[in-house]
Amino acid sequence: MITLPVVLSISALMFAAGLYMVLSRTNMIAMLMGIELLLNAGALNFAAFAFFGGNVEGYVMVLFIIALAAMESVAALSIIFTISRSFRTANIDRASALRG
Amino acid sequence: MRDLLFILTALLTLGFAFYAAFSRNVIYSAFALLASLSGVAGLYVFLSGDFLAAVQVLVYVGGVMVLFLFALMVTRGIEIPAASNPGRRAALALLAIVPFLLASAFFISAFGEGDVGSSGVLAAHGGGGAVYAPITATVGRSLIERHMIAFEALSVLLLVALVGAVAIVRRTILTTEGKEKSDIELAIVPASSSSANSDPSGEMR
Repeated sequence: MITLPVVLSISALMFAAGLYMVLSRTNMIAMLMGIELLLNAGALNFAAFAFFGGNVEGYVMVLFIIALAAMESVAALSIIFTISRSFRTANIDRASALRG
Repeated sequence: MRDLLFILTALLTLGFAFYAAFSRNVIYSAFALLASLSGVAGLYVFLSGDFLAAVQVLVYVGGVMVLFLFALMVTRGIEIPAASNPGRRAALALLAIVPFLLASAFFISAFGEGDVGSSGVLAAHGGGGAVYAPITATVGRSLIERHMIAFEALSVLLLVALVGAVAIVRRTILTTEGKEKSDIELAIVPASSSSANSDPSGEMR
């Protein structure tokens, strides 16, 4: 049951959910959540290839992806906090001017 | 028994991921995402990634999602689903993920024909694969022997992100306080429909 195509399919479906979330939402924090889903699906692919291929590099890459995702969410949330303070909304369509 | 647990974990992960994607309320989405990321930690266990599962729970469930919930709670008007999360491009987004799913089905079926685990390109890197063994020592050794520079660069990058986030938010709070004060001064002349009714410094009008 635990085979490479099954794990890749789980990852692809998870990626599709994240893609839908990024594309359909207008709330910036919800879009960022979709990006987290995308990154997790990619990391799951790396772990699957590391497990079924028998090499350790994929596991190391998953650690890098997790650290980068944490860093990305910290930076993006601080920017979203700034934008929602100055525009008084977290809607990405109404915050379209570069000058606050 | 192992297959049953695997199916259960996979269904849990995918179900919560799709609930997070389709829910109208952002706070429900955040909690569903929390459950889905915990499910990914369970999937790492089935892929012999014990250390990865621990890191996933520590960093994502303990760190990132708490940060997300905190950011959601301080956002104004997030408790109204219609205002906090209008999803009006849903049909276009569904249209966009269909080609992706078709392409990934094509590639996954290509992987299913050749037995990748026992023979092929991946097996040339060493070992048959699909063996359950603790990976922490191997990953740690690989991290400081072969990926030393990337590891150190990542730590510097984390420090930069931390300092940058603090700098951005601190400047925001300073300028926003100044702006709200000028809002109050402006609101003296027109009708008092200012947004400073929850501000303690609104008393000075």
